[in-house]
Amino acid sequence: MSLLTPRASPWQWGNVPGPTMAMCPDNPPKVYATMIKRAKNPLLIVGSLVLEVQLGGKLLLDYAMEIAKRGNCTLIATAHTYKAFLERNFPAVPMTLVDIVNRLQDPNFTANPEKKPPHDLVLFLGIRYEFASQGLATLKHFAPHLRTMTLCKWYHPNASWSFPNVKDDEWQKLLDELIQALS
Amino acid sequence: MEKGPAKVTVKELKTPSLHAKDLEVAVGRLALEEEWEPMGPTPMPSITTLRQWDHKLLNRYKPFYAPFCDLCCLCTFGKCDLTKGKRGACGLDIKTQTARIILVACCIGAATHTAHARHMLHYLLEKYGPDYPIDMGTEIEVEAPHIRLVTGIKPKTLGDLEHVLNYCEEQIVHCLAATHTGQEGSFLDYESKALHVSMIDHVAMEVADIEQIVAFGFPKGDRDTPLTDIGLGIVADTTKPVILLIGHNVCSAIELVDYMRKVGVGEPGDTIEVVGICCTAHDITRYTNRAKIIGPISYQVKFLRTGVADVAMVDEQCIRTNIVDIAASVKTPVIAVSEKACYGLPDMTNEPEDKIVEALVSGQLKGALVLDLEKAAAVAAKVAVRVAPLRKKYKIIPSEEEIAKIAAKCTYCGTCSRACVNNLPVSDAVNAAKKGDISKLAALHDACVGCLRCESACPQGIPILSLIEAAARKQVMTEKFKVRVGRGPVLDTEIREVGSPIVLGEIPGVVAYVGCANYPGAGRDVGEMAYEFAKRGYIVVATGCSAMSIAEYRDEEGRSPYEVFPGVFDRGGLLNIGSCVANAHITGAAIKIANIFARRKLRANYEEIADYVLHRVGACGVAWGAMSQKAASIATGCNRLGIPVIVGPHGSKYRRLYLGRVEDEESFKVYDARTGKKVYIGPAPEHLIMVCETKEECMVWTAKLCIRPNDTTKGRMIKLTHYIDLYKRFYGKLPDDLPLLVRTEADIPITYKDEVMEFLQAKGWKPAETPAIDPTLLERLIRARG
Repeated sequence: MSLLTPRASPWQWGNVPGPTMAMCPDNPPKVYATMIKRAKNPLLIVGSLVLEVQLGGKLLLDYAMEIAKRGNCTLIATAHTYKAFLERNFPAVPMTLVDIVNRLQDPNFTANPEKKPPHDLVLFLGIRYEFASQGLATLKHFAPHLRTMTLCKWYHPNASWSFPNVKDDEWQKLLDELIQALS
Repeated sequence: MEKGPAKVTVKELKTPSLHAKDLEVAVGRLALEEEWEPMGPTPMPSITTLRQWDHKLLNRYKPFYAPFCDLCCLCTFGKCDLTKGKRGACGLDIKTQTARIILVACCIGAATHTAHARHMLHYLLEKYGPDYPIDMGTEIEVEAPHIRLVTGIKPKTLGDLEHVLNYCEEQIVHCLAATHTGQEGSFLDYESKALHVSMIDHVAMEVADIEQIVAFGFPKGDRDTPLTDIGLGIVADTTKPVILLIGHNVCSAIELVDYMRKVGVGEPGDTIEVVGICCTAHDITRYTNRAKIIGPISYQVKFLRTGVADVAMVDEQCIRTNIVDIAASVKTPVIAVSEKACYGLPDMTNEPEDKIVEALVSGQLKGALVLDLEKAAAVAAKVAVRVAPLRKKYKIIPSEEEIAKIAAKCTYCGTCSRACVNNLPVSDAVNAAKKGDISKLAALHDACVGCLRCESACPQGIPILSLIEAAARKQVMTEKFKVRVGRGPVLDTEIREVGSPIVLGEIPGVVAYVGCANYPGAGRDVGEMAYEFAKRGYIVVATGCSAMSIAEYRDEEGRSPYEVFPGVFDRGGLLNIGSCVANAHITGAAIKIANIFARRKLRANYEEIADYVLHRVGACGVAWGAMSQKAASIATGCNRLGIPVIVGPHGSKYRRLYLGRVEDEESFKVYDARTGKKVYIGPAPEHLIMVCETKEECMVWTAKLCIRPNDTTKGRMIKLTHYIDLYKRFYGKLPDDLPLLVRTEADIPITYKDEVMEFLQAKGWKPAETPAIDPTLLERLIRARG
């Protein structure tokens, strides 16, 4: 018996970090879009799953580009995802997840020289669950100047805001609605 | 060497104030160490002796924390919530608490190897006596680089190793004590202690492997050890009794083979098959290559459930802790032989052999604890022969036809997927099987780490792993590969040959694939990486589960990497060094390069040797599936010695990395020992321990982390060729950090000359003022002040 709802309990059962866990809004696309629009220097970090996951015949990478473009986010391409963005002529910064998270602890860091530090909102998409969870834990504890937001289909307790646990069809709907709301 | 205690007996002593008779004076131990080299500055360092060195490292490679848990639950003040800057009742914050847990993990790792070495030494001293010589063969003079470097001792006999272990045990106790509530309070000092105890870990591993090499006659650095069979499919069709060995302490397995020889049942495979999982498997093949290796730690349940094993003999470390129940499910009796892992079994050590055999054959006992290894071996062989016809390879993996029927109970609740370590789509696969499509289940086999969390979570009690293995049965049957038997240390003669090209950079690097099998994907990914680097002319070395997984990769011609590359420590070699404890020979090779090739003093001279390795030996460890506390201490021990390590994504759960920041130029400055001037060396290496998410990212970083400030222009050119080549392949462009790595135009690879020059000019690159330096972080090594 769990006191947490199945949709907003840590995706991996054992990944319960402590008393501070992510908020899971009732209408994530609308809330997320408002916050992304309000952010001064938002960052979207994508991982290897953007090259592997297909939603409704569309690669997760395409969703990442849409969100980054419409949300005016600087895109950090971790793992070996950079090449795919280069091939699509989409601006991205190649970096490992640990390198970007390490720098995000520093309020004087910006990955986009055209924008003033700090990054005030950091979005995660397509990073392996356990690895993303650890990166989010670092930012939760050591980067009080920013908020984190996850766009994957898993509830991430270490984020500030997270999507709930959903199946692919609902995930696709959430991402489509987010893109729509960012327009 | 210490000898003693020494005693002096005086029959009668008369002084103005004293009259004594039969006076006996004991003076403890006498230092009789041969003066093989003048004693260095840090013999048997205490937990703070090398603190300054650690702080130099940690100034460049600052600890990066990713807390795994926001709470501390270690004392009755707690649970304390340490989230976002809160302190616990004892005063610790989350950073310091995380560093503390890292130290605990490293203590566990070091203690495990030390206890392994101690346990084995007890056994060997009883069998061979303390004067049994340490003879590592004619091509190895520096028989124990870690022991010599850290303790100052040059061990000559098994008895000498006792003193080394006494020292290790003392250091572990001190480090563990520092984690008690109200002790250490600085994250940096916790890290220094983690580095210290992990250095001790490498000493203990070296002790353990030297013990087994000299006592059991394992290969002493042989370049062409034979190939042996490995894979889940290697004994699937056998009708012979099969004994399965699991663990790390090979003594009981040696007794088994000796017993089989003594009673005339021949070598493994003649009448009884002897197969192993994990490091005992490596080590028994170092004794006889007629034994076979099933595979890494993750194959325990997968193999047991096939029913092929008639007896399981388990020693210590990395064994499934509910092994008795797993084995009982296929009617396989378990014989436990280690005090450290008794599994609640009745102690039958002092019972007559036949009584134990009867109890196990009849099923009266699911298993027995037999701490007398000779007896345990005899019992294992007798039980295997008697139980095999009764069991008839009883298995619980269903047939393909039964899969859908069992899967029908699935309610598609998704609980299994949320329990999966690798986040595999287990629920989708079981649900598809319910409808008759088993392909999705079969596809899970490669990335499944065999942990059984899915089954444990399933509310319907579906044996999910068995379904996966049933669906993948055709593939499993073909899983027969070749692995080279563990060769042990790198030879001094090999070091003399390759010392120069490694230090100058002309051999682009030494890459070590080590650690457990908690891989993010298929195990053969490690083989793919090893193949790539061996093909590129790096020296590739491997141990433990990683050495096994390398064998699972097949090239276009269907060959295992061990069949393609020679087992020599030279350009393009691929060496299986051996089991986990043989990791000490990898770091030992780096030490020997400094000592044998560069003639740096070895004895109790840790800082100078580590400084040498950090700046000159282009080595990089890759622990792609690191899982255990032992892997944590092995990696951290590499770090103190100046060797960077990459872990796979699950390694992020170790919760601490050592990361450099290239923007912080000051931290990448060293002394030029010739002039005393501080010189910028670039990010070489950039990190000391980091995580990569994919094998592609890992390969790029492996090439990069082999770059060292001491590279000659030719060496740097060769290293950059590989870095650029891999970067372009996986990222599609030139690396952005080239301006930091190209010191002069001569460093630029010829094949990329124009492209790189254009790139550098666009970035405003300027050649380094002093490209050739003698780099050091140690002021005392400066020869002339600038």
